[in-house]
Amino acid sequence: MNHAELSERIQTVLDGLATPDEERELERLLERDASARAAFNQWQRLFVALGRVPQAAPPEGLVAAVSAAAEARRAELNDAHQPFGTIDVIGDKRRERRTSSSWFVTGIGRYLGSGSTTENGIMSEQQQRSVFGNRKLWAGGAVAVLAVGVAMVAFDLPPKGDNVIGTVAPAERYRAPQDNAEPVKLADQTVAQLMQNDNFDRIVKDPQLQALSQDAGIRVLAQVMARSPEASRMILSNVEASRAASENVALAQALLGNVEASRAELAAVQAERNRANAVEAGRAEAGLQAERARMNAVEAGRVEAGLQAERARMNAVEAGRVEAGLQAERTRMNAAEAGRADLNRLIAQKFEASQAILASVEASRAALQNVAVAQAVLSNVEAGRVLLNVDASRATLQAAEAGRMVQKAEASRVQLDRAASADRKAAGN
Amino acid sequence: MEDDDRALLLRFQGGDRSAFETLVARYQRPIYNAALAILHRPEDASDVTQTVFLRLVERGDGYDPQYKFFSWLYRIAVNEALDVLRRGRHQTALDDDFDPADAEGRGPEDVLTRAEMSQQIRRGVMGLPVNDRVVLSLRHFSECSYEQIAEILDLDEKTVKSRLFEARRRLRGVLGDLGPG
Repeated sequence: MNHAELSERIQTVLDGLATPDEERELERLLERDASARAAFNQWQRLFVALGRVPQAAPPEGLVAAVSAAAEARRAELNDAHQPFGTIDVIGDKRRERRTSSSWFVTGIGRYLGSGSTTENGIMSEQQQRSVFGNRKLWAGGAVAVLAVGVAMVAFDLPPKGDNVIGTVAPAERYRAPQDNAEPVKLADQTVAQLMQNDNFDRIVKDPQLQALSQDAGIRVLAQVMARSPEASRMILSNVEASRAASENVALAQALLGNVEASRAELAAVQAERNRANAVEAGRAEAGLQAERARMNAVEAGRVEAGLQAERARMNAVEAGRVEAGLQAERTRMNAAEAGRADLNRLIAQKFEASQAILASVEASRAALQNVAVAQAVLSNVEAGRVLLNVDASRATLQAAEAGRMVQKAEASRVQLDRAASADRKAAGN
Repeated sequence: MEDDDRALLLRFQGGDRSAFETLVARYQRPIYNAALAILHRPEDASDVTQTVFLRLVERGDGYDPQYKFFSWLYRIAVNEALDVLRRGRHQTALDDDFDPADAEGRGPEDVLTRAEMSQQIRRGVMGLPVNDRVVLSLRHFSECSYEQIAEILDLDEKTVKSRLFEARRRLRGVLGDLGPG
């Protein structure tokens, strides 16, 4: 057994694929040959070491991201013309609808870090019942939750900075001595401030939002958009670009790495396609003309003319081929000069996606940098647009000023409550 | 497991989305690792893993029962990963991730030795041609049989065996003699 045969036999044995005879033969060889034993030991160490290489853990949230992406894709494939679905109220459809929403919530919810799902990512029946069992309770809070999400998107709340710190306004009427000197501390006023906002009131009463709020998936979408308002706006500014980018991440990265060069490549591919079409059209036209000429010639009994027509057609085809070859060569040379042949190929393979991505670089970048947000937003574009635009056109309130006013009022109310309490206490004494 | 997979796939095709999540939870790790072994970039491996399951959504109806389900998934994963590789992304060395669970019951020197050895092996594998990486990762990291590898790569078993032997020989050439570990 030579060296190569020995290596092969050892690997076969270590792979567990050797026959008993092959194993025995190797054993006998190892008993009498020290170099074979050394070789066997080396191979064995390699096999053991390969077997000990630990499996890497996928990144956290991968299941959620996959689920969200799959839901978006599935919705796109199955339900392209039903942006919000229907509100079912009876029978099995309702149950099915709840399951559908819960699946979406499971995916996005875990992306958002909520701990409401089981370890393997599947929401149990019991959990589903607890989440969706009290529909009335949900319905009561749904519009408010959705409105908060919408307002956060539309008004860019909560405002950042120090201009919302509450000021305790002095009470004008009788002021009882304070029980302690601690200043009144206001809790986080963001939501309260938001809920007393006129626009919030309009949003809550908006019929479109009321319809949307019936869907748990849309409520989660509102939360996702509230967390990434800028990205959501950008994504919705050009849905085609965002969708193309989020579905073709590698292509988008390649294209957006150098937008100008990519646009040049796209134009080159487009030119090549146009040229190919033109050549084909020219060939067809030449063929038709020649055929007509030939038919005319045959009809007239002028075989010679037919031959000439055939020659003319052949010449035209040949000329087209030469021109096509030259142009293709030029295109190749240009691509080689630019050192971007791979990009050219990539664009040619996914031409429409490339066009879409480059049609809006900003939207594509936003989608690429926020793939999970993009998937959520693109899963229901119409809902996303409603969430983004509801009442935004009517929004004239200065959010920061409103926040200060609301906080002042809240602080005054606390002061007055304390004063009233002290009055009652004094009267009792 | 195979029958179970097919049952889950049928349920998923019938509209049961929890079946889809079960399949994702079951196969995300091996699919991710298969892609990682080829690409060596966690971001790329994540992308490929997502793409594989999106393909399942898109092409689930096209699943051919003559293939084992996971072979079919792996095949998609390997093709996607090779596609990403062909697009010319740069590879960067993967930091060796240390899993404390692997260290239980062993002394620190042993743990360190094994971690270093694993790192050495990974670097060695990543230094090999892509065909070698694919067969090595399928056989040793994903523990596929020759038959499964043949199915995934659409090769005959003899070719798989030959490629595997050559890949291991080249890996030994890269690694040199391995001390007793």
